[in-house]
Amino acid sequence: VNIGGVGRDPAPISISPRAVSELCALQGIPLGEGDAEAVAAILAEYLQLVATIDAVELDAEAAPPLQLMIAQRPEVPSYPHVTSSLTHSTAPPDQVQS
Amino acid sequence: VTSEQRLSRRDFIRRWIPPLGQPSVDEEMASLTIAEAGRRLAARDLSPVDLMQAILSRIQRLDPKIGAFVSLADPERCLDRAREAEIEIGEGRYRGKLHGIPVAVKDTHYTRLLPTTARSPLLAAFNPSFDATVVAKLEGAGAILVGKTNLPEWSFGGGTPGTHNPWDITRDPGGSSGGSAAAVAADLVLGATGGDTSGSIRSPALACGVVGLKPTFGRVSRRGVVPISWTLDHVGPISKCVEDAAVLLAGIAGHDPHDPNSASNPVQVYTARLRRGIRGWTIGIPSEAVLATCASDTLYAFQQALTVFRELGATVREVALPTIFPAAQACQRLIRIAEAAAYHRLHLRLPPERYGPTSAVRRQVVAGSLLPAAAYQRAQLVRGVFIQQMWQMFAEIDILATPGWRTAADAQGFPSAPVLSAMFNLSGFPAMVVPAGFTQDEPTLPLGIQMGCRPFEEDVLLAAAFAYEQATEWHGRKPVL
Repeated sequence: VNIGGVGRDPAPISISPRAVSELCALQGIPLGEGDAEAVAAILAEYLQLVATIDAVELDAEAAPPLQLMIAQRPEVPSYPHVTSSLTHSTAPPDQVQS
Repeated sequence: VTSEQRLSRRDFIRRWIPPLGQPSVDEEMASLTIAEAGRRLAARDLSPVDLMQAILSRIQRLDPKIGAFVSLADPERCLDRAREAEIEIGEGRYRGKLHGIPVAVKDTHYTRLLPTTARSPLLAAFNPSFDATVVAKLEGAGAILVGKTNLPEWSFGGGTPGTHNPWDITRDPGGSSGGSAAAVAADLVLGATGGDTSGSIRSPALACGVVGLKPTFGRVSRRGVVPISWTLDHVGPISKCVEDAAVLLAGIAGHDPHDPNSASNPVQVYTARLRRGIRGWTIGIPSEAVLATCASDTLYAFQQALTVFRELGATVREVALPTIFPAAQACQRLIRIAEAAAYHRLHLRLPPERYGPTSAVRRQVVAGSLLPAAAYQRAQLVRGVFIQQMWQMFAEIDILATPGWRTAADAQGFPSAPVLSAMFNLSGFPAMVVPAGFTQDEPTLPLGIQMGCRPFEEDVLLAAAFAYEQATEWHGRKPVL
């Protein structure tokens, strides 16, 4: 695998079909005819996305933990702006179904 | 707005396709919205049996042309259910606005009575032992499932092979919930559900000129729905009008203890708050740089819609999208394929031909299997920052409005569309599309706009969409079939 430079201007990425075949074999994934070449091209595209994401300046320690995701509204103290500018009211209790 | 786009609003509206002639009684019944049919059923002014017969007859006549359905329920069972509804309503046991309403679900939803294939040979013989929560809720509300709708293999893709767009049957209806959108647009059912991982409810709804709503993550259960990616997948309604979207959402929303991502937030009575108007609301729109990437007629329809919002008393102003917006699509795509690879992991150890000789999905999920776990985790970290920035953006606005986008229905495509669409999957914030005009070139195809809002404020979203819809007439147009 050749990831030619990760950062703000990631270079094109290439990956060999042979590498794909070996990695798939390690995981017990059989490949059909032409699969290794096709998968290598797709994987290179995904690795380009990885480079794009790596280019985001992110303080990993300060980044919010993965919480799936907004299943509940965040605690208001963490997001004081959330309730500050509503121009509409929330539903009155009698219009809420259990 | 370019000089080519400087049509007057009246000229723009005149581009409508000529109205249909006098419809037959069956066509008139099949063309009803859920809200209209519900009112008539409740008043016993319409028989559920007659409505079902009209729908079955229309499916028999037109589905060979549209190809919306993968499988159809036994017509006798549908009529039996309709007779039961007639008796219950007659005895004063009306269950609500979905009682007696013929609906369809995407063929990713588990159903006991019909196979669930997700259009993969791997699931060709899959007969689930239980109904998806969404299916159970619809049937519990009295809706009658008439069939399961087409999709691309495993829901992968922006088109729906085998289904034809009712507005131009030489074109694709968009995807992946293209069967549902085409069925609703062609009046083959009164409403349907679909799934949305990158825009798969909204894109076909745009292409077919109907309403598509992707609710907040967790608002609608995904138990018993074949996944692509469990942190991006959403299930939601596709309907003929905004009021129907509200009715369908109310029918399928709610906490499901069997879905670990299901939210316990109370479900609002969406129809009760539909007509409050948007006077004084703030509608945010993307910057000109973002809008500049839109197709000209799509942009024109959007700008016309903004005029409508202003006339309704809203303030329209530019808002800065999250600063890491450009990375959002990369995160969405990476998370999607990594999670899909995890779902398919055991399937991938089977002989490749089990996916079928023409499978395009297997190679994609094999590639997803080779991605570093750390890359997936970093994408989720960036996603967390993106969600924070979405909250900050929505602190200043009530609704974010964006142009709709061209889909597989249009060969010209629209490259920036997936970002405008997928940002709502990545964040989990709700979004919906409504019809907003037609293309200027022949053949005349539907265009739409997208609106999004804060999580669990679907009532706000629906109210804005309803206000817009009532001020325009786009939703009243029907394809000639």
